[in-house]
Amino acid sequence: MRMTIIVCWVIGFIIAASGLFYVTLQVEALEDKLVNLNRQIIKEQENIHMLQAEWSYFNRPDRIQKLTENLLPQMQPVEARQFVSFQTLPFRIEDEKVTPSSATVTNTTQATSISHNGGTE
Amino acid sequence: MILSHWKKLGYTTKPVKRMTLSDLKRQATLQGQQTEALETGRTRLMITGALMALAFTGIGFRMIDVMALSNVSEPKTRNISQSQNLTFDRAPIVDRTGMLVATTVKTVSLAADPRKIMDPQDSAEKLGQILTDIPVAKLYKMLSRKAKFVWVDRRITPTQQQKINALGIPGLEFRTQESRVYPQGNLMAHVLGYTNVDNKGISGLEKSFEETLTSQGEALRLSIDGRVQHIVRDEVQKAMTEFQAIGGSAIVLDANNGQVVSMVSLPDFDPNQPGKASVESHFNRTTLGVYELGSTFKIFNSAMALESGTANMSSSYDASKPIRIARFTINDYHGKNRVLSLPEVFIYSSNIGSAKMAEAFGAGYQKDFLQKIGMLSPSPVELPEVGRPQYPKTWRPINMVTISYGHGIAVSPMHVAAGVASMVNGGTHYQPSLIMQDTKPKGTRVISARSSKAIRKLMRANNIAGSGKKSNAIGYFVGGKTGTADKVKATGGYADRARISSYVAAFPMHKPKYVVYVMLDEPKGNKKTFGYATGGWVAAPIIKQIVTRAAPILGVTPIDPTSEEVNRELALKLPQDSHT
Repeated sequence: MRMTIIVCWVIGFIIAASGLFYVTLQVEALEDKLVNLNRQIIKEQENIHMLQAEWSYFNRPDRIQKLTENLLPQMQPVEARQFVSFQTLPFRIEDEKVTPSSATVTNTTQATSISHNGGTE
Repeated sequence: MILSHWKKLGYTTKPVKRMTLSDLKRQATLQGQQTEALETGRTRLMITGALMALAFTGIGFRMIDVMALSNVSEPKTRNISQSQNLTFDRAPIVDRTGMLVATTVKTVSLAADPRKIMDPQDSAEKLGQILTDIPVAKLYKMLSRKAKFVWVDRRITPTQQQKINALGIPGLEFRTQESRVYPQGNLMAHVLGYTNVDNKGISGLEKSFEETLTSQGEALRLSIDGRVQHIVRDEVQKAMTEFQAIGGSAIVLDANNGQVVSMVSLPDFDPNQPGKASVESHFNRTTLGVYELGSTFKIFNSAMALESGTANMSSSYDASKPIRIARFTINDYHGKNRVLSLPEVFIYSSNIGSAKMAEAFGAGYQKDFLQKIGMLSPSPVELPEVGRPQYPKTWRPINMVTISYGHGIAVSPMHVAAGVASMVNGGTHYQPSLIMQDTKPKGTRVISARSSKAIRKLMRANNIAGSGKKSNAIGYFVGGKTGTADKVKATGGYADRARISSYVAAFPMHKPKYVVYVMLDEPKGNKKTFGYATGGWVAAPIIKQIVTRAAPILGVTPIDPTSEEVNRELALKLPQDSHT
């Protein structure tokens, strides 16, 4: 009886000890991993920070202006007359039944009727 | 307890048979010896047990100490494993739109310990191939110096670092440092200022916000819009080249809260390399420079006349003869030689008429008024570089007369822009600010809404019939006033061909949202301007360009130029002969 209890205790102790040892090792491994991850996060943050500065550098308005002048010569600064208020916009023409054969015709009539009916409906 | 064990094991203290006397005697001695031995054993056991117990108690305490209590000398593994954020010693600065305009980056510098370098000549040659901007001879000199530490190169690129590392020269070392970077270069030079090698702000906002930038982590947000800033800088630069001006200055100011959307002073410099720029380019003409700005002051003069009640829109002034006061003669630049109404005095920029207006309300009123709109103290804008206005100590009648048309008083362009904003926005003066504010600042009322409306009409009329025609950006109802003033020579008196030409405008004039100020320093007329270099010829066209390009970005909706409602709002009985 006494022997069994002692054996039980010893076994329990071994299990607890090895369990504790195992958990400790696991925690240490995980902590190492976490430290590495955090280091990586800092590294990434540094990279992002650098890229933000670079983004701003490449967005210098004078650079963009030069690029537009060279690559988009047909783009011009907007003029005041290109702005129209919502009220002055013509109303939308009600959809007519469009058949495939009459599609092109309908489109042109719509386009012309906009300029004629504009704002009267 | 121990005794009972002995008994079990067969030892006994009881006699088992009758003994003789001698036996007894012998036994007594034996017994005595036994007891003695037993006592000794017991004592030894006690001491050992106590020692063991003490040791275990010690170990127990130590275990509690190690496991439960934390110690200062413990390695801080827990802190490392906690997630951290990247921090810098100096917070970034962003513009109104959130674009980064000043930031801190980690840079690598190359240092050396010359004592550890075995072959300075060979090392210098190898380094020279990587650090191409330093001559080999200079590198050799550095590496052969008798010192423990020398900086070889500050701020090397990652590629250079990699290559130098690959050389494997002992005695070279990399040091990581923080350095301030201005990705947008010259764009906001005079607004931001710059820092020295130790990241300490020594001019501009970097200096005035030194404490905020080094203590807070979050970015400082400016009211400056980088896009508008570029447009303004671009246009002033173009005009400076066209008219061979030595300098230029421009401001775009939100008329209804005093926020500076753009502030340019040219020539400017690259804050990344402030040392390479000329001394001249470090000078901030917009806030530090004070100038006699001339006729733009007639806006304030007219407001004084209307607000003081000494005049109304139909008052008239005889401008047919020059005024002689003290030993000076006041004359008109565009002389009409007749009686002029108040709007005509404004539109034709009559000095004689302005002087007569000022005579009606007097010097005291003039000084108080200028004080109220901040013209007599340094601009409250958040820059260390603010100029102290220059004005006469004693306000004599001659001073009052010249100040009425903007001479004899020198203020910075920022003063004029903020002053004009308060004249057109309904009469509230706001302190100009370069920092984005979430709440609308509290202004102080300086003129009545009625006087403000009259000023708006006058400024608009000047763009229709006066000197400001070239600033008309169609659809934006620009109104403004020119200023052309001869520069004061260093020797005293006025220079003849050196002048300050400026234009101050607001738009849209029926409900002003922005005030735009432009100034060119010593422009020269060309064929296109028929040799003229006055505000109306050189500065007004810049306003037109700025308004046309920047208004869509600023969110100002253009209005049909023929809009009856708006034109009626700004209607003013204009003089008969409108050709100037």
